[in-house]
Amino acid sequence: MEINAKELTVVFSRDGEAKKTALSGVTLHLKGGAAAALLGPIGSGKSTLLRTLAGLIKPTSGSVTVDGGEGPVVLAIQEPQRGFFAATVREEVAFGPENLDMEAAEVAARVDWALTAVDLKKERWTVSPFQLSGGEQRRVALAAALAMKPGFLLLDEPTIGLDGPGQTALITTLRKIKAETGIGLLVASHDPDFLFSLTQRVLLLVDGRLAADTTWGGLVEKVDTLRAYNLELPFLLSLLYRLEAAGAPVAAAQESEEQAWAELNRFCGERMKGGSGP
Amino acid sequence: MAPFFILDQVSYCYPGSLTTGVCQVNLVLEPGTFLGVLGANGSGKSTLARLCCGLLKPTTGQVLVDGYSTANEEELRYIYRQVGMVFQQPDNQFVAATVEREIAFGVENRTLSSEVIRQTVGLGLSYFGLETLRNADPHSLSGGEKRLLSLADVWVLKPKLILVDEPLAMLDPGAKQRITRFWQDLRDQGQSMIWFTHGLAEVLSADLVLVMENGRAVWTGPPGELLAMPEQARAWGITLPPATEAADRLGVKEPVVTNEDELVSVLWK
Ligand SMILES: Nc1ncnc2c1ncn2[C@@H]1O[C@H](COP(=O)(O)OP(=O)(O)OP(=O)(O)O)[C@@H](O)[C@H]1O
Ligand SMILES: Nc1ncnc2c1ncn2[C@@H]1O[C@H](COP(=O)(O)OP(=O)(O)OP(=O)(O)O)[C@@H](O)[C@H]1O
Ligand SMILES: [Mg+2]
Ligand SMILES: [Mg+2]
Repeated sequence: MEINAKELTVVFSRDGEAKKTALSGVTLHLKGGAAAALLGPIGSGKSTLLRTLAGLIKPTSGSVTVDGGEGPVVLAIQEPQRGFFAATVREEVAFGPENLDMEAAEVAARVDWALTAVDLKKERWTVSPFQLSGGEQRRVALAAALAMKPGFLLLDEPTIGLDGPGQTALITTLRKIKAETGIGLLVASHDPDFLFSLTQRVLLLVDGRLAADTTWGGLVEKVDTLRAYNLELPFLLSLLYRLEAAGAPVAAAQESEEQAWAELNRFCGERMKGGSGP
Repeated sequence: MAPFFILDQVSYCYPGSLTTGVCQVNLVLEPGTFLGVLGANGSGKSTLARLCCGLLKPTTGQVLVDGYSTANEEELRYIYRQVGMVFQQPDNQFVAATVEREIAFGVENRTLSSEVIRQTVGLGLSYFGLETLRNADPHSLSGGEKRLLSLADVWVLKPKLILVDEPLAMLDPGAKQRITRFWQDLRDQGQSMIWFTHGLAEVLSADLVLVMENGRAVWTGPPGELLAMPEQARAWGITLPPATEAADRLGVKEPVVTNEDELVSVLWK
């Protein structure tokens, strides 16, 4: 499945105020089977872009087309509690699959799978989604998105409110379905470490414009741009970058978490064997 | 004189719910203390926060602020003025139609001087970078903008005790740094604060940390001690600072590192 966004512009008008251009001429080609990170400062238009790609906002100008593949384009919104309406967690998660004309038994199996995948305690499955803690609500919203068997999954700040085990469960699940189903992913987040563990491509949105379309290695080269917008590299890349800048024999521009670890381990291993210091 | 803030055997059960929200928590705070409350999802942090500000009344036990109890309606009015809370989900606290009116709302309840109100609101808008959004509807803001507004709301009231429930969620790295520095300054001026989160990095400078598990306070101590027991901290659902995790994985045992600078100097010395 592919999503093509062409020259997307979204202008909001607020009462008694000048119009706000939240997105400005964004052109993007998102491929199935690939995972992209959406980085950008507060108010830069990340949620607006995701909502437009999901068809929840009609762009002021430009177009979004979805081609090929099976399964819907699904968005897990930034503020999960705003989307809840069902009487129980199970019903909340079942709502989407039911509307896709899945068989009842398949819906039930999907719901079980999704709630397990986000590691929500089983005794919470039958309570109202409004009677949950913040992190539990996030898990339910993510489960509801996963249960729809999306062809393309758009995630808006999926780690907010999630504790350590919750984040680990999410990363494991997303990696697994990505490997198994060829799903496409676009993830907006202020948490570069989470994004680094999951994505290859990096989109940088600033003031509603696409300021960079690169990879993690490419982002290391652009660290000055990033800092100018008060953004940061993932911790591992930042560490490698600092070591490299201090003259250590490491290459900072690594493309994935695995590669970054391999580079750090290699460096530390050589140091142990008595390699030279600064 | 009674201590300034006391939780005395505080328990709370949500009506009709089988799980305990909070179970027999005890705490005594001196003025000027910065307390971190850590715990996994569903461990009872936000419930405890709502009990501390009087929004929920303990099922048993009591919460005392300057000797006044949150269980007593009349005393509660005093407590509302002393304790300010930044909610985990900022939407829940907005009441006004514009950002400016929202910040003014609480201030207007406390003073009649329109000059003081105008000045205070102006300061709130500029400190939190919200000037250009002053006429916007709070509910139409982006996630991070809402968070900044919710912080401004409470800051302008200058409460004696500030409760913040995951105050850095939804902020970009620049805003996280700004707000962290901002709390640090307030603290240096003697502000009492309770910070609820699952990330240890956020409360490393706390005087004391309390860990919640299944509604109970299971551990209290300085944050440094928690760093020295990473296995246990992880089992409680607490996330460790990324530098600490990386050092652990690279086999760096000594010294304990908590940030990038320290790790760089350990690895390349
Ligand atoms: N319904 C709306 N009406 C008017 N302005 C809006 C509306 N929704 C969003 N905006 C404005 O558009 C800009 C972009 O908002 P958006 O939510 O896309 O940002 P974001 O990048 O997701 O930010 P954050 O990181 O804080 O979540 C913001 O300045 C916001 O105030
Ligand atoms: N309104 C409610 N009604 C019934 N039960 C609730 C309600 N709110 C929370 N709970 C339950 O009480 C327990 C504690 O929830 P609380 O919100 O205090 O957790 P928390 O530590 O803040 O978690 P998180 O890190 O996810 O925000 C959880 O089991 C939760 O499901
Ligand atoms: Mg957003
Ligand atoms: Mg909470």
